[in-house]
Amino acid sequence: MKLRTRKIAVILALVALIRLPLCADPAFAGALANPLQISAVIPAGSGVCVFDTGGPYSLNFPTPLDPITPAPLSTATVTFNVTCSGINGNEGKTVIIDRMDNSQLFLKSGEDQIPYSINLPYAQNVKNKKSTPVTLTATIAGTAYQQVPAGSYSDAITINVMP
Amino acid sequence: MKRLVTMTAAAAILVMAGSAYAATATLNTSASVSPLCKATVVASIDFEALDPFNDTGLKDAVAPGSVTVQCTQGTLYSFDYEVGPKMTGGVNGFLIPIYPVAIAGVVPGSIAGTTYEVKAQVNAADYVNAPADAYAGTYTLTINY
Repeated sequence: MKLRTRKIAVILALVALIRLPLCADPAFAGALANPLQISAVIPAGSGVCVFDTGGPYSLNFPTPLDPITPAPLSTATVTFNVTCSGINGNEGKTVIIDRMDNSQLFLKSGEDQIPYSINLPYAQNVKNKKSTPVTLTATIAGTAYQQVPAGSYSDAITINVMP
Repeated sequence: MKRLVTMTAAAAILVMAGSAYAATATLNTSASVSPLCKATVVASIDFEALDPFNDTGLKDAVAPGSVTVQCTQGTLYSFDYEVGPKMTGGVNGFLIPIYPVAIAGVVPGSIAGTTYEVKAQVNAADYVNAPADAYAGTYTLTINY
């Protein structure tokens, strides 16, 4: 009788060692499910984007502004490429190019300023690991530079690409 | 205890998705404003009737001309006056010299513009022998800026 009891005990112990890695025990299945969900979902929703060249990029109004007979709207464009990785699916994903600031932009020359605008935030569809051109357009209203002295005006802003 | 550890890990990964994955670049923008001036003739110079018998010396135009100068704000400028402009008789071709008078009180440019009176003179000695005719000519005023 004593001998038989020992045999059963050994068998039970063996079964338990085999089943632990398979998570078949309901008491352990719930605890392991949560960390698996986190690692699967969050990377798929983020991705990583980079500017193909580090910049800085230049957005120059090509023609000198004429304050006497101003154009209603002067425009300048710049095109650069961004590449994103970690994007799932054939349809790609919309990324946002923005400057994280909604304040009025000004071209400056000493104390003098010319207000201008850039079409930001800008939404662009990208596909995984495919270099995608982004064109930004800046505009200056004709009335914005009629009361400023002649000279060179400039500004520098930081733009972000967010997957 | 196990649940607390799991939630902390989730928060850390979400923060990474919102900030660390955003790439940045600098965008330099530039434009230039030209120093420009524009002149518009408002009125022509008119000497009206010249009298070769009674006029003496220099005679001002009865009606001076005027010109409005618009410039980029604050632009400094000056005038140059044509040397030796003349009026020509419409029928006989007789020439009467014009003597420009310098414009005084030039102010820095503005988009609104400044209107200047443009004066000129003729010398009676130059038309004492002029035949009766209608005389006309042009006078070029140059703006340097």
